[in-house]
Amino acid sequence: MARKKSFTAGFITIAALAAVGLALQLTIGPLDWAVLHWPKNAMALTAFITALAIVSIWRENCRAIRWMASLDAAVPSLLATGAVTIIYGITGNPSTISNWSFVLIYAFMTTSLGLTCIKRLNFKLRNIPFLLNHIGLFTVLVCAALGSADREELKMAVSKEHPQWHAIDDSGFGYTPGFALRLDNFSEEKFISDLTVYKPDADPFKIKVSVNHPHTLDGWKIYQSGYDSYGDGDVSILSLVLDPWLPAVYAGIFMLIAGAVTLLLTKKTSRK
Amino acid sequence: MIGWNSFIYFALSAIVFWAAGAVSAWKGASKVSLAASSAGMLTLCTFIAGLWSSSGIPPLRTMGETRLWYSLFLCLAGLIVYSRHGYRWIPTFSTVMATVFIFINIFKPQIHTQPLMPALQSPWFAPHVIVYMFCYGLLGAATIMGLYLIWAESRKPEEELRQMISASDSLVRAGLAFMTFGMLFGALWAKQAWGHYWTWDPKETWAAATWMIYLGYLHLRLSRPEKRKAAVWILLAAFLSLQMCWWGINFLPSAAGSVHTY
Repeated sequence: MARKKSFTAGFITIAALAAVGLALQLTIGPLDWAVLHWPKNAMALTAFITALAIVSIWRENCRAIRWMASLDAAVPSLLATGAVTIIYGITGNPSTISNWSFVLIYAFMTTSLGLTCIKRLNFKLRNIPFLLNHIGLFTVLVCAALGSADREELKMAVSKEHPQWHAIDDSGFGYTPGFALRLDNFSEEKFISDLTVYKPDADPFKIKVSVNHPHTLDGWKIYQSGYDSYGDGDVSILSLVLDPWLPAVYAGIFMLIAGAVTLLLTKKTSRK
Repeated sequence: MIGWNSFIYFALSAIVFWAAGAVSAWKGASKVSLAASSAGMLTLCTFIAGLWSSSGIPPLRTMGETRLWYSLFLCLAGLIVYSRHGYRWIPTFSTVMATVFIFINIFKPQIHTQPLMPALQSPWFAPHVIVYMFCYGLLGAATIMGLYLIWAESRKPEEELRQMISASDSLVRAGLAFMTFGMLFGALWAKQAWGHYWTWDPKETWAAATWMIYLGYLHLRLSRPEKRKAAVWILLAAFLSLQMCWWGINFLPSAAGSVHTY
């Protein structure tokens, strides 16, 4: 094919997305990821993948779609994603992930990645490294972004005085996770909390939580987060985390790790 | 009972084996090199296993013990890259790095018992650091190739330039694989220690940016191999980003709260 290849279209698209993002930012304000909670995020995921699949049907007839699934879109979108991530790195402003320009440029890269996965979806042995790397990254990006709304992180301050039934989220709202924890002992040297668990319908039992060794209870993962000592009272601060999308993100992460192994063990592939 | 007082014998024999491996790699005797490096690793492994069995707990709790794993896995990574890609300088690089950490253990015996802070007491710690060292080594070599290419662009024949950048492609592929391991081991560890695999910590943010730019380089090389100059400039930009990620962020006010600053 004597088509003249160029990255210009990619860079123009990115400039346009940055501009649209700026306009959205100024008119409707930052993107609120929290609105995408279950089941909206599952619907968004289904809609996104369906749209990618449907659009792919016309790939051979539509230049724009063919371009989106090509290296001509991949190169500018990767460089632009790197560039906006550097801006985030320099400013360190945590609201960046709600900035429309940032999100749209990541979404452009993810869309191009998704269309490329569909284009190259065959399970011949020599295509496996490609699939692991690309589907892995697609899974991580999409599931981590959409799943973030369902992730809950609570702080619970437990003491030796009485079982603690309440925890608060980072905006200060109170929750009752369905079990109570009481601190039996805290080792300041090793940062280990010995705890007793109370549930309405079961006998109390003992667990241990320390840094790097969380404990799973009723779907919650309990982490050692902090410790305070005043007077004769010890208070251990625990994090309670619920992340229902974690298995999907981990599936992507393990595909990427396997993909990196193949990258290391195979020689450079040349393109037809 | 194997303890730290017998370390020096194991350490010195491991270094001798590794040095032999490095020398034979330069001489092109790759099988001898692989055998010697493996023998060195086996020696160090014996010491680690002895330390483990005499204390009864995995040796991952002190600074000194962590340095042992650094030395061991640096050699393992070197072995893998050398056996697959055949760069003659790799065994020398891994030998020098592994020897540095052996010497730290020999000359600073106080670290043998110095406990790590609780967050660092994890089986992920050593692999996370080691794969990054390897990533830095490989991408550093690719950068040197890039700088040479800028100088050589108008001075050397086309064929040699093509070979040079093709070598840089292989280095970036291997370096990027190690960077992927480093980033993802870090993510799995972070989930275990702090409850989330990704928090846009400054180090994570710069690592993601660096990763994307190296991916940009590889995809540019695949799509338009004739755009050599652009590729080389991206390679250098990626390395600058890597430097920011490695130590540059310590000077950024926005990174003051990073979990990576100790």
